[in-house]
Amino acid sequence: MWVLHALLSHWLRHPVQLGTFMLGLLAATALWSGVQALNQHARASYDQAASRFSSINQAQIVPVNQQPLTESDYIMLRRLGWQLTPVVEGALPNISAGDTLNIIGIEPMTLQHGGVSSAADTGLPSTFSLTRFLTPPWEIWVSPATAEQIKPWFDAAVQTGFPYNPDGNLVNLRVSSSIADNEIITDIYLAQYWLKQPDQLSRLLLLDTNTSKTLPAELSAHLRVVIPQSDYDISRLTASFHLNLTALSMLAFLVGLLMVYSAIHLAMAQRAVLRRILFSCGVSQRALTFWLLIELLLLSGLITLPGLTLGYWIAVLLLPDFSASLTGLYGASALGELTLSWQWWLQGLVIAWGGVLLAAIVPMVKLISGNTSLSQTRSNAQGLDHPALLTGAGSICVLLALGIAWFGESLFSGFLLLALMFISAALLMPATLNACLRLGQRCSRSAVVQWLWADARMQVSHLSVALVALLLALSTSIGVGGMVEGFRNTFTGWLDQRLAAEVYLRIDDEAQAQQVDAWLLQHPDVSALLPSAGIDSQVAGIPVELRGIQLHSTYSEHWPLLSSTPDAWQAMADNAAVMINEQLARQLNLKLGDTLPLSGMQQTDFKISAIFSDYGNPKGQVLLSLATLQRNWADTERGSTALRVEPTAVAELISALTAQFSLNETQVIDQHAVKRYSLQLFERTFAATNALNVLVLLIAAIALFSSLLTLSTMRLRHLAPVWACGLSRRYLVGTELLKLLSLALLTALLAIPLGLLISYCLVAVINVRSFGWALPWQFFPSQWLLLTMAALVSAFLAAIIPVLTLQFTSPSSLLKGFRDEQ
Amino acid sequence: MSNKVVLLLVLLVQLALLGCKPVPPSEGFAGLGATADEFAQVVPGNVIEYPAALDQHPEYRIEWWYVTANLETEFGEQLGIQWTLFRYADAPAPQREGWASQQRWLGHVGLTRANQHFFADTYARGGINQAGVSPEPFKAWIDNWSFVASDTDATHFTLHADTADFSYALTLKKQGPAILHGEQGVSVKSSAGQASYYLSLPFLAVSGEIKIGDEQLAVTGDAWLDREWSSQPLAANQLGWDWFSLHLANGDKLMLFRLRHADAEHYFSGTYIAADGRTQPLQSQQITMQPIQQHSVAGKRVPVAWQLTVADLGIAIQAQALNPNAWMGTGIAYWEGPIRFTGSHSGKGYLEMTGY
Amino acid sequence: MLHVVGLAKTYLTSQGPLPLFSDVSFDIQPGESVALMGESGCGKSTLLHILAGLEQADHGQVLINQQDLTQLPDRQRAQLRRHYIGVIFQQLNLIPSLSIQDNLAFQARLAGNLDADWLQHLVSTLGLAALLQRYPAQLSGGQQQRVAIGRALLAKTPLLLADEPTGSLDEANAEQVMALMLTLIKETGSSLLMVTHSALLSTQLDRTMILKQGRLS
Repeated sequence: MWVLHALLSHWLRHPVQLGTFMLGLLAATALWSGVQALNQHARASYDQAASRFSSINQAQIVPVNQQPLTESDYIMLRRLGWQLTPVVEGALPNISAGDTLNIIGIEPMTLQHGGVSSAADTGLPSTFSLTRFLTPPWEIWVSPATAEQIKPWFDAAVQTGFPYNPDGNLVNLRVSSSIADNEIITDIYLAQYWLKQPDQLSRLLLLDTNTSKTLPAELSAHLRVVIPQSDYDISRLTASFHLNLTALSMLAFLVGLLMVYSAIHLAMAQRAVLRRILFSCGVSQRALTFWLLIELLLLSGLITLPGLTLGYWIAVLLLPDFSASLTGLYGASALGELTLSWQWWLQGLVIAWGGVLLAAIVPMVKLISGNTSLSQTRSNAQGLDHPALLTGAGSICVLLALGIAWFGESLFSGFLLLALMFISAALLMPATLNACLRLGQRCSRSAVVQWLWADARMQVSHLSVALVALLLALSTSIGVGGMVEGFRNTFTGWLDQRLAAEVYLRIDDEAQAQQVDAWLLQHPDVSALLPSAGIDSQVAGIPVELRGIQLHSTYSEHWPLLSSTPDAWQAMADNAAVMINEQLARQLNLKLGDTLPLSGMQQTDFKISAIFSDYGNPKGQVLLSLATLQRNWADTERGSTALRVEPTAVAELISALTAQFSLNETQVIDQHAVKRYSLQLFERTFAATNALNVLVLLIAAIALFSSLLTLSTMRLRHLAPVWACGLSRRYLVGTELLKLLSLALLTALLAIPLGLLISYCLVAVINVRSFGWALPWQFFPSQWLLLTMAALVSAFLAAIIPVLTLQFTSPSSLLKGFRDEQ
Repeated sequence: MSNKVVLLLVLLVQLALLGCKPVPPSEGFAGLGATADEFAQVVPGNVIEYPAALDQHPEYRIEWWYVTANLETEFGEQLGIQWTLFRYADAPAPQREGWASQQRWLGHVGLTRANQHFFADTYARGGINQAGVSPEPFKAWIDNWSFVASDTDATHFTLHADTADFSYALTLKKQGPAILHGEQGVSVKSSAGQASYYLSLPFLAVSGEIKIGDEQLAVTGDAWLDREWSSQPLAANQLGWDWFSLHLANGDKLMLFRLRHADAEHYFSGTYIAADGRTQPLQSQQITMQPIQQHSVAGKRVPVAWQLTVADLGIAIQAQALNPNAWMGTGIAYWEGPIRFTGSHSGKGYLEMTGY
Repeated sequence: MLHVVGLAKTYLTSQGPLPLFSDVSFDIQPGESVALMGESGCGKSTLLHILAGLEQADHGQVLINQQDLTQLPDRQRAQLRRHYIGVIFQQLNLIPSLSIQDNLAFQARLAGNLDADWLQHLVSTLGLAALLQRYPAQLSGGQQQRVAIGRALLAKTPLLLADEPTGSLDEANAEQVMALMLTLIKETGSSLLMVTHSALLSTQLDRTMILKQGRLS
């Protein structure tokens, strides 16, 4: 125990080191766990959302052509051997605005079929009883939140409708957290009664994986089998989004760990004497190792808790933007309040411990084997720790990165490439800085200038960890910033082109739509009325959306094409050519002039006349002329109608339309509103990224600061001889500051090419692999300037306290430099 | 994702209804021992007539239509099939209509060869025609599995089942009378008096086709239909049963069962059916049924070879399962498969063992 | 060469003011070598530091080359040190980032009076020829002190202040280093004020001053 006491006392005497250690670990844990909390929360919410029976990802039979799906349809299919279970669903009527409670009626007898009774440990309510579920007074199952929400109904005096059963009795209320909020699961009998849909079903879920059967003729007119690609579910779609965030938080974790490493490194080096004493007092190597480990685990354990709490708050702060972008981009349902599982806490602790042990392993081995201080100072004098080793490892990483850049195809390999770029930059950076400084030293003549270079080289060896952190943070900022800014430019331009019409109409009711169309055709300010229609289909097993548009100069003049054959638009009208979005082109490796196989009624091969950019769309899209679409597919759905309107008359038209047909704002959309929404979504999507970016930069600045502070006592020893030889203190202070700023500048200059490389990797590799579209690689020198300034300012702020200490330190303490600290 | 939900609900339902957990002895096998006074009760004196008895009896708690057949392919391969429809009521009369109906249906089918065994089950609720039984002519179905009489006298039937692994289409021809077990069809199931109405068609000649994967087999053989209904067939302390239907080579038939008690002597019963249809009910003390070989299947030990003795009739036979792995891993799991026997008599039959 | 008048220094400690010495006055003539002795903690080193302009006195004057060191601002004090004073401490005299060659030449180059022949001579006399490309951390204590002496002498400053220059060396090494230093000082004609504990060493110098209870005798 007293060994531990002796070890711990070191930290008390070196509060800066302790501070660095704590801050580094705090930042690392907080950022990592914050992002993990968001990811975990999102995943949990997808799982919960999956319990919504409205999910499109289940193979199912749905009614089309405005005809109902009846019970007898269901029975007919069952008696033909189809394994399916019916669902009745709908919003509960008479609910105040803003609340939607969805009734979901299930048929548990058939739902159970096709089941595998393997996992009895899923933590399901063991209280579920089929008999209770199916017999009076019947039951409803809701989430705890929804249970609270519907409690008042149970106390109300009205004895009809929800939650009273047809016998006029209250149903039993059952609560389970495995049910999504705002959903009421009940038997199909009650669902039909409450939703006033006797004899009607909403959908039939296919329980059989083998869906090769075709619908009988008498049903095929009004029913359709929808078989989504199970891979294309929400978690798959959002995976890349989460991966992006995870990668960034990993980087933050790394930067934090670098701080931890430098603190541990120094602490271990300074304990060489303590080690000697402990050994001479009869402590074995093994015991020392043991107590060192205990010490590290103890310290990191203490810091992890506040770190995780901080992570929680980061997650809470980022949640609104995070949730909004998931909803906007992928249609995932909005995330509720952040709740965290105990696994998250445990995971945080394990990650923190793992990180600390990783950071401690080299310094600890050095201390225990006893080759710390001497070899350290010797090699330090030459500038570097293990230059050849680091450079060698760095070079190998560069080679690996080149190999992956050449051969890698997956998103994961993209991130691996990015990681290797970071690692090799980090490994090669000390040697690069050293080479630059040596060159300076060679070229300089005067004794003072030579000393400045040489001294800077030595400082680099002590600051290299902090400078690497700064390099990583800066280059990430440049890379991500360049990507985001480039995206913003491209996206805004693209939106302007894509949304060329002034007003968009979306009316689902066919009869009303026709009335509105007729009215609009009479309207003097409307110069064109461009309807569209769509249908979901598949190409080579990939779900695609077929979209038919009425050809018009609005499209041919504005629609943003990436590449096209000559007369692409004409070909669409004349030869039923199609245009496909970039995502689809990349996924299926399609080129201009290729033929796209589609299951049209008249035609199954369609020539590709153009490829267009389609940012933010997770799916493949095929653009055809409206005529081609309607000729080849029977039951298309009416899409939005684009209106070309005299710009000055837009506001007037919208209010007239709204008043005349009592349309709401989701049905009549002003072009500006769409753009505003899209850009807003865009900003929110990158809000989390930006916030993390700033945090990483902040940690890097703190790392630099703490390194300098730790070094400041050692610096006295370096500066005192120079001072004694006849350089004034003010001069030394000035050059000290200049040197640190130059190092920061040099780091920033090195970060720019690295950042550009990262940005290229993001726009041309990661983006393509995670979203399916590429972005132009653009440069933003003003950003670089800003970041260089930021680097200088953070270096200045980091240096100011140690330098001021030097300025105001009493001569006697400077003279202490001539006494051996150890 | 939704598959997962489906699975969850599957579990939910199975846990609750079909008891993945061991059935507490106080309720007998699969809850069949729970008291049910509000349902119609099995009482002596009711006249049971064929084919009216084939129709459903919804006022009783439970009943089943149970067809087993010992078949032989044109190449002499022995196999067996099973087709069963169960009905049970969640609540006594009055009967509710439509989705609110308290009736539940459960179908089991099986196919057993010497080295292969397949089974499937399906579920339906009453009131919506997904499953049901109707008379004149008799028809029983669940999904696309059916057992249908081609005439109102119910002398010719077709039997269909279709699963992912196998399917069959068989015609059954009634070649002898319907048999009433026990006392005028009241078959007593315990010394405490629990009983069921029990009628059999042991004389059914079968022919038809079986498909297993891509394999098509033409088959002929003998089938046996059991019709049984009651509201409380088992005593609360009865754990399960071992039931034999035997086609003797001389054309006679023999039905034997034993109900195993948790805490007392087992209860035996049976009926000897002569080739001309005359029956002789067997009393508990006349019968001995002795397992002579145990086999492990699906984690259970089940007896797959038996010594069966009815000394009064000079019967002493050794029965052996065609395939000892004929485990029906359905919601309610049990063993059911074809057997062969030798000894004082030889022949083939079916064995069902529950509650293991 | 060095003219000290009425020098006084008091340290402020947590236990109150601690007077080190007061009214210290003495002269050192050009070429004269003087030993400064006294018990540990009597203020010898502090006195030396004040003379080098590294520390401030409370009262008194330190005249070097007719300039009062105590009245000069930091920058000019550094200038004066660069040109007139060579300082040798007990240890850690060298600039860790520079090679031995650069360390040796450092002050001379600062002062702008690097004499290549003299450098050659010093290097061979001090036996440093093989070490020129090395760095201070790679040298032994004795080697380091020889470099420090070389550096101080190379600049040919008229005054050398040495604070126990051989204090951290073993006896044999100490004698050898001291002998070298004294020989070379003779060659440059510089004055020397050396703080030492060794009575034996002090006899090799022209005279000895003893600091005792804040007074010089």
